[in-house]
Amino acid sequence: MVEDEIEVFIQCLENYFSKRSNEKIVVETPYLTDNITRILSDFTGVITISGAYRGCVYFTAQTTFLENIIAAHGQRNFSIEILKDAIGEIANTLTGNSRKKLGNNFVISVPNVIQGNARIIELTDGAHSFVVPLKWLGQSAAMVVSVIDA
Amino acid sequence: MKTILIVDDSEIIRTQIRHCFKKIFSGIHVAKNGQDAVNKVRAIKPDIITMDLTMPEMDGIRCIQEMMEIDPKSKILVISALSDNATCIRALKLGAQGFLDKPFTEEELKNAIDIMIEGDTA
Repeated sequence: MVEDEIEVFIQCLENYFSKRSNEKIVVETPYLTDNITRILSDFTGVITISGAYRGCVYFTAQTTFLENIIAAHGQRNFSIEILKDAIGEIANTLTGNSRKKLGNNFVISVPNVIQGNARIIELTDGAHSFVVPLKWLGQSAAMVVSVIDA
Repeated sequence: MKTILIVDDSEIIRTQIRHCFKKIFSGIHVAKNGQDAVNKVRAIKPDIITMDLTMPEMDGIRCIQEMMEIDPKSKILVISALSDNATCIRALKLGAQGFLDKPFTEEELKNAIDIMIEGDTA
């Protein structure tokens, strides 16, 4: 995936957080990675991509980051199940929104949620895997795009 | 007062929508997947349905098809992150009356539902 397409995901991130609060996200400089386990945080939502593309999109965040998201939805239940629900919904929404630019042949799965980083998730062979780090309300998260043309 | 069926596999989204409409609808029902939603449409016949598209077991598009077969007058507002034109047009052609992109604000959601209710009473 080329840098112009990564810009699509950054726009989706900015749009998502603009709807949650007046506090803007700070998107830090994206970089390439070949080792995702270093990046994984407390919870990770994984969307598998198929159709005209192949690979995965990940959204990974600290517990406090997710608690802020849940609170922004007007809720105070921060159970593990709700934290998992939140990370899956964010990953799904960001990836789904990218289809507005990438088209409906960017086919997305339902989210798979992983807690912690014990389970290794392989990056896509042959893909330039981009990490987009961000901060919102002082808490860190990252989006990882590891996708190539099918 | 009307009834609403909220169809979404995400609990935070179901709760957000329910919270938004607790003073507007007399009956608020929820479904976590398409099959559950179809069963509830048969049993409840809700006035308004909010419908996610990406769900396990039965996706929203198939769910809309089945709901329209059960009740061709179903009022369905699709609320989805799949905001590409092709998906939006497909949902509308199948019988959905509206499409709201995720993420949404409370105001956007209320406006979308107001339009459907006004259309119902016009």
